[in-house]
Formats: sequence, structure tokens, C-alpha cells
Amino acid sequence: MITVEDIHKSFGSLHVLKGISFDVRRGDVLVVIGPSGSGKSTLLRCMNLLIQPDRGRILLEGVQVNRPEIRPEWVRQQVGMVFQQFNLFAHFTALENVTLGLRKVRRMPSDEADRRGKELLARVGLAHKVNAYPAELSGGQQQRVAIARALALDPKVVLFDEPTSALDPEYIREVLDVMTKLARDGMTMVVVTHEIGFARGVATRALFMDDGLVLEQGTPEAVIGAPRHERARAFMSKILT
Amino acid sequence: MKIALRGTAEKVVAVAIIALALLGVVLAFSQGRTLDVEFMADSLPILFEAARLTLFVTAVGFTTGMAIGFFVGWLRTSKHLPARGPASVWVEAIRGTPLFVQILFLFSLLGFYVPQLPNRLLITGVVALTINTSGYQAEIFRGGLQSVSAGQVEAARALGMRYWMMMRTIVLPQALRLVTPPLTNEFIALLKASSLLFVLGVQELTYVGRILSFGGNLFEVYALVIMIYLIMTVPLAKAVVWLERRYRIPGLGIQQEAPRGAAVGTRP
Repeated sequence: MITVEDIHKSFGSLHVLKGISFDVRRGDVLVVIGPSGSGKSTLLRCMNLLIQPDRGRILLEGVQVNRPEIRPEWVRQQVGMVFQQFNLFAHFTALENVTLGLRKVRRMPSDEADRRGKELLARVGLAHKVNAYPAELSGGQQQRVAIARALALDPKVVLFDEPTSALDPEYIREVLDVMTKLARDGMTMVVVTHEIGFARGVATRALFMDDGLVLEQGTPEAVIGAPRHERARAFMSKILT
Repeated sequence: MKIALRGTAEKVVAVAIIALALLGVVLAFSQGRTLDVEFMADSLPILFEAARLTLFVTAVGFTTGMAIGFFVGWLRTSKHLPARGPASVWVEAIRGTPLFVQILFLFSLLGFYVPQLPNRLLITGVVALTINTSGYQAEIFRGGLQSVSAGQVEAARALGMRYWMMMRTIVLPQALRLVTPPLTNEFIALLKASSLLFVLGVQELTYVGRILSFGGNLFEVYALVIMIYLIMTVPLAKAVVWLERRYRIPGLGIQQEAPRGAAVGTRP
């Protein structure tokens, strides 16, 4: 579905991604684990071309998309993203947040967009909050709206950048539940997270990244439970109780 | 005019104004002199007429300056140095020099190049106000644009929005709401700063006040002048508070500029 081939990215003299390669098949739930500064967020942003890799290829359904002939905006409609800080549009209601992409990017008529928007909000359990503003919602609710917003354009893949890291503990569960349901419904997902429970229970594959490189790849049990690389073992022992 | 006196601060200010006025009257009496009320009544229409010009030059300067200021402020948000650089120079030059000096400078400039220009002094004054406010407004617009969080910009891009679509639907609606209170404050500041145009002989409120005061009744004249400035600024200041409350976006706000110094080291 989405393939990352030898991706490099530097910011000035800082070499953040040092040759990352992996692929994600349809229906995969890939979890990316690793210490901060390892380049996980940068990698995610290369996958929807918010950041342009310096070297390497990004392939969407076999077609290379990081080239000048292809408009990044088109790619981003196929690859949705959910952010750590939710990043909802503060001046729009929940429904408007969700339908904005449909109305402005897909040029869908308002009533159809609203119908679709309400469906999506119902799917994440927020049918009763369609007209609420982000400031009136809890963190968990905001993130669920953000997920609905990412789903609005019917993406092929959804990227999650530490979706629960900014949440108060009591809201983490509700967001993970929505993500689990999404996974069970067959969505292809790439999730950067520290939630090991989610990784073990829902993910189909896992990557361990450190210092710009993928050190471990495989099933969640293998990567988390039995890592071979030294640094991976050290990291796992620190986060597993 | 309904005057809402909520809060201790406002009560203190109102009491202070009344006390000062009374003090002035008492001092006048104690000098063996009575208040020339007839003179005050005669002066009022002249001063009101002058105040109209004050409002006029302020309004023209403010709106023209806004067009420049918005453009310059937007340039300041650019990541490209050729755009950001000149804009920064513009802003720093304006903020780093006193308005009074700017007026004198423009006076010399226009006097040198277009001495025969009709209404040259008035135009000099308006241009000075325009340029000056454009520098401060640029900072206000920049602040407004940048206050819309980078995260929302990222989210808009992630949805496949192009730059202008994102500006129109996400950034500008929020930025424009954010800049309204600081802009109103800037208008008030410009109104007060316009008093410096007296040096050009522009017949605005301060200048006309000075001329009238040459007849000898300084206190009467300046008391009226102060009162008229207050009549113009206080309702606007109240409007700022009302605007802030009405158009508030929870969780967003921008830093306000400190008031700029006027000619001789005093605040306008």
C-alpha cells in the first residue's frame, strides 16, 4: 500500500533519517516505537509529504509520489494524519472541522458533506457534539474529532503521530478504542506511539527506530518481547514494567 | 451616553478626573481669577471643528497605513529572506525613531522635492501618520497571523489544502478576529499621536488649542482640549473591551505593543 525506500532527511547539519526502508500492506497496523529524537515524527511527515525527503522514494500503491510531477496536496488526500496536539481548527465546530476537507478540497455540496460528517462523528462516538467548538471539548473528544476529520477524505492510509501522548490518562482509553475499531474495520494505519498495550493487542507489525535508523522490524511480539539489537533491548526494558 | 463604571480602576480614574477638574477651578479662584466660562463656550465650536480634522487625518492615516501594514506584516511571516528582510527594515526603522522626528523628516523631504504641492503640510502630516502606523500595524498583523497555531496550519496542509485556501479558511478568519482589539488600541494611539502634527501648522485640535491659548486663557483652553480628546478616546477604549469579549477565541491571544514614545521623551 505504502512503501518507504531508503529515506534520508537532514535539517541543516542534523541528519535525522539515515536510510529508512519498509513497506505497509493493505490492512496493516504498523506501530513505530522508539526514543524521542529518533526521527519518528519526521518519518511520518515524509509519508504524506509534509516534509520532502532528501533522498529515497515514497511509493503509494506502487507509484512513486515524491517527485515534482505529483502535487503533494493530492497525496495528502490519500494519506490522512492525526496529530499529537489534535490541531483542530479553533474557530470551527466539530462538524465543520470534519466537513472542511470535503467542502473545500473535494468541493462536495454542503448537505452531503454534513451528512457524511455526522456519520463520521457518530462513528467516533461524538454524534451529540456536532456543534461544539474545540474549546468546549475534552482532549479525548478533540482527538476523536481529529480522527473523524482525517477519515473524512476516505484516505487509504491514516498516520497517527503519538495520538495519545498529550492526553490526560482518563481520555487515553477512548481514543485507543476508536483506533482499535478503525483497525478492526480494516484501515491501514501507521501509528507512532508509546502505548505498548495497543502495540501488542492491535498492531500487526512493529518497527523500532533509534537515531534515524530502523533497528528492529517484525511482529509486535518479536520487536517488543524479543528484540535482538542492544539499543532496542535497552529501550524496551526501560518502558516495560 | 451610558457610562458603565464597573470595577475599582474605572471608579478611581473617574474620581481622579473630577478631582483634578475641581482642583483646577479652586486654583483659578485662589489666584483671584475666575473661570472665563464665556470664552470657553465661544471656543468650543472652534475646537470641535479642529477635532473633526484630527479624526479625519487619523482615519485616513490609519486605513492607508493598514493596507501597507497588513502587507508588510504578512511579508514578515515569510520564510524567504528577500521578503522578510525589507519588511523588517521598514518596521524597525519606524519603531526605532520618534514620530516627531519622522514628521520633521518627512517635512524636509516633501519640502525639498515637491515644495509647490498644494496642501503640502496637511499631506505631510497624513503621510507621516500613515507610515508610522503601518510599522506598528505590521507587527500587529504579524502577531495575529502567527498566533494561529502552526499545528492548525500543518493540519490544513495534511488535509490537502493549498496555501491560499488555507489562508482564507483557517488563518485569516482567526487572525482578523485576533487583531481587532490591538488595532483599535493602535487607532487610539494614532489619534493621540496626531497632536504632534501641530508642528506643521495642521489645524488639528492641539494646534488650534495653542493658537486660542495665545489670547491668555491657557487653562480654559487646555482643559477643553483634554476633555475633547477624552471624548474621542474613552468610547473607543470601551469598544476595545467589548470587542475583546465578543470575538474572543478561547485559548488564543496576542501580545500588545508598548505605547511608543512621542517627541521629547514623553508618552503620547
